[in-house]
Amino acid sequence: MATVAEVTEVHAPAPGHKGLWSWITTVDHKRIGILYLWSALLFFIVGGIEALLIRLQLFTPNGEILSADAYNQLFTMHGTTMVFLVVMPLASGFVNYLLPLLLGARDVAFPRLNAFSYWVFFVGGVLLYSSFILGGSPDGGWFGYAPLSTQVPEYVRMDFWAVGLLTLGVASIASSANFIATILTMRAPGMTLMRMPVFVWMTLVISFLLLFSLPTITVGLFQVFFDRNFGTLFYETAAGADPLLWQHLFWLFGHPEVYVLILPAMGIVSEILPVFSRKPLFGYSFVVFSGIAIGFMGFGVWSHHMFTSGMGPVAEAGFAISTMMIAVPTGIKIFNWIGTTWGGRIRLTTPMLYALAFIAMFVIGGLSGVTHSIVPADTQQHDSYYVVAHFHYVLFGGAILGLFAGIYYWYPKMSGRMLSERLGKWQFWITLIGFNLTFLPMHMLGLNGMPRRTYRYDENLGFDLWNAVATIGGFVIALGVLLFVINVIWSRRHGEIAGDDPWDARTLEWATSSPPPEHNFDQVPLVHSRDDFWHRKYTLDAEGFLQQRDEPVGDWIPEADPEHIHMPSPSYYPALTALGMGIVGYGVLYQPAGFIVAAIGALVLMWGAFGWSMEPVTRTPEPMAHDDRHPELEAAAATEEVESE
Amino acid sequence: MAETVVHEPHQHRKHPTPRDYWVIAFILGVITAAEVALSYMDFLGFGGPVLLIIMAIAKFAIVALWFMHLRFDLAVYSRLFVVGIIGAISMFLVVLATFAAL
Amino acid sequence: MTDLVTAEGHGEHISTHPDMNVVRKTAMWVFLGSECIFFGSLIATFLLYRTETRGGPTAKELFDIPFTSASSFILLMSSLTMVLAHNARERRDPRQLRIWLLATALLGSTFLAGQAFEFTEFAHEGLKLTTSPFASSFYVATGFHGAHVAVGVLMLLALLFMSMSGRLRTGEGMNVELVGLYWHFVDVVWIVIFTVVYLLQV
Ligand SMILES: [Cu+2]
Repeated sequence: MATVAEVTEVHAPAPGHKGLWSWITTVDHKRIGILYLWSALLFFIVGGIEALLIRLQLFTPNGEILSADAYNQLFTMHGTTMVFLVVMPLASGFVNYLLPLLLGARDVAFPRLNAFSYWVFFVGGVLLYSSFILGGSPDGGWFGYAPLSTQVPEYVRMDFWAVGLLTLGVASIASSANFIATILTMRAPGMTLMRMPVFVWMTLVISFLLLFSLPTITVGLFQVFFDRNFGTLFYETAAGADPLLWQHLFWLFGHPEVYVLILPAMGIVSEILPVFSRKPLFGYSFVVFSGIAIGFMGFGVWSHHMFTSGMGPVAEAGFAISTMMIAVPTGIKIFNWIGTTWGGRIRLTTPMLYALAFIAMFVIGGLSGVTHSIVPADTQQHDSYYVVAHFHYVLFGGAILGLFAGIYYWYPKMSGRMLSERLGKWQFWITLIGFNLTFLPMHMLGLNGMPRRTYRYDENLGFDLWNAVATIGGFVIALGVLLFVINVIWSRRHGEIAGDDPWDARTLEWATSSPPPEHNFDQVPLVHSRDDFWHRKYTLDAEGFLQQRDEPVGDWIPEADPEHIHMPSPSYYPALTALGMGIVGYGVLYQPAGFIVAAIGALVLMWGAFGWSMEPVTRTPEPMAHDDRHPELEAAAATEEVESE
Repeated sequence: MAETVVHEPHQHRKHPTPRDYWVIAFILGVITAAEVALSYMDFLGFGGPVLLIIMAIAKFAIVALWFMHLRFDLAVYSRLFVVGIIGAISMFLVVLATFAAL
Repeated sequence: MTDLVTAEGHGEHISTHPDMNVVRKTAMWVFLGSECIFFGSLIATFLLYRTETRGGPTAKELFDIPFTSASSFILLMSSLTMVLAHNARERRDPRQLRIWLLATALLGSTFLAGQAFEFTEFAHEGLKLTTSPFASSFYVATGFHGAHVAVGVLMLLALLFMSMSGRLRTGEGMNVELVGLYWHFVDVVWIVIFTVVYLLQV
């Protein structure tokens, strides 16, 4: 393994790692992670364009740019996209790429299931977006309240929404089970649970949240779909059904989902702050346990989304109290992050700037969230722009800024090159200013009574100024995102060579090369402490001062046969199975004729699943490091090694 | 969950034999027969449903502990499963309570 | 700050390869935990709508407890045959394994046939999917359970095929223990449905 200073060139891709087919059949968690990240970035741009169209429509009173119908479709798809196709897959991308590296493992527990998750996600995204050309996109809000979402079954729009979300749910369930199994059983020797990086802990909590919350919305979505297509009466008030059931099933999922969106960012920030403060995380166990507490309590607050539905004073009081209480573990985390930076030797790199901004913006969003717990106040704020302001502070100011921090932090590990710090800092300030310009005024708009989800407002209501400011802010954010895209693309070729450990970091992913080899570690590390990699680099001298070792020292578990590390073979069955699911999805949208298509899809699905279970994980014990099918690449790699010495 | 989960546990409890499985199945059959009989005894009033629920829990536990081997397997499996059961029961009791539908 | 641990001797045997059986069972159990919430949602919906019959047939008029208890018994016994299959697998007795796998698949199919018969009977007595919220929630809850049984039967047949073609491996792909866990879970869910949806409503 090359040491930090000597790396002058990024590794060439491993043999057999080129071409579309290699991406479709890959089971390497790192490549799957990259697939997630690129897909999410693409959807981020699409969802951003939708947001800009919404803002353009609201730029002036009585906007003329969008029809009411187009507006409904855009705000529905903006919300659905940002939640399910941007923040979740971005987090998934990081988890995929990093989880085994952080644990000192060679892969996730089920590499093919992992590939399956990605392809199902991909199919779900395609399904949702193909609705735009197949009769209009979903238009009933990302929360699809019944009976609104069960109306007008002649239009296939909300069917696309139901089937799309069901498909995405399968992807999340599969990856959650996979991640939990990985974390509980695949850790490197010595990596006890309380030595795991906080990001891994948050992944564990998120996976449980998804596993135990997705089933409720799954059932709800089936009910909506059956109501629309088969005449069931789950949400038909005339028949004595109660549409509030949908709100329960949705928010039993929806509130834990909020934590699914924010906890990855919290995990990322908990990794970044110690590195750039040159201090260990302050109160590690408090951060971990408050994360677990948030996970548990997250299941006990869902009805605060339903305070205006008339549940009665007992339920309202109960959920008001639980909502106030869940702010406590969140507050603990914030104090711990601030404590981490306190007295540290802070380096204001771009990832650090984003991490610090995350804390500040998330505090604002968190506090406005607590105001929703007070039932009478919530009754005023409900369905107003105040709520829009609140959750954008949490989801953009929190989740997206945290994820940006993660991208700047780990891009060097993933690509071998640094993102431009200059462009990065420009992007940071522009995004931060644009963000506050967009969403701070929405608090005022909401408290002045501007309702959400309305495509027009009259002049003389006092909404003009702040709407204009918000729209300008939206375009400032867009400029920031443009700079980001330029940075990512430019740095792939021209970024500074990163080396193994550019940030002087603390966790195990920096102990291997950038980008890591397919098998992650030539030898599996034996872990002795939290932040093990830091302790491999630094020691305390006699007086208790930190001393850098001449060379990292630490235990590696010798590989019996280092030339033949068995990695799972590529497989097309996961993608085939996902394709089958997609065909079933399209089929059921257009029944009764579509049932034939659905049956074909089911056959493809079964073919994929059957082939998958027949196929051994590692097909032939072929040599990993020296692949004689590609002698030219082998030679190129050899010369590169010589040059770098 | 504090310990590292890597290896199968030592088989501290004697695994059931096929004979044991037949006995367990017989018990399950008897409980089911008792359930059917009980559902016809309207005179029990409120006690009937309570007994039925207890019997269902007993059957559930027998299948989970013996047929699904939870009694003889890693504790972490039981915990993962129990979290799901308790989560489901408590969440949906609250939901039904808000509808006053219990 | 934690003390800086340097390299120390490691005399004890350290394995870098986790026991794949444990890995797979962990994932299966956590998935089953998730399935509890899935069926919880279905059953809760049924409980909410159990009296919303909209003038159509009620549970009391409709349910034929002797018949349903017979099919419940069949499903319970399929758990017995499943566990015997698992036991045969552990004893490395492929002949017994195949017999019990086949028996389980047959019992599961019998249960499904019973459910199909029951559904058609109810439909004749006027309980269509679209009759009432009670009807919708009854058919969807029991129907999803039936779908789980059907998937289980397919997996059992696949196991049978794999066993006959000698492709049943431990620690990889589908195996008897994982399918067994799934199958018993489906049985356990039926225990709950039988009591909550049937017995408590008549
Ligand atoms: Cu909430």
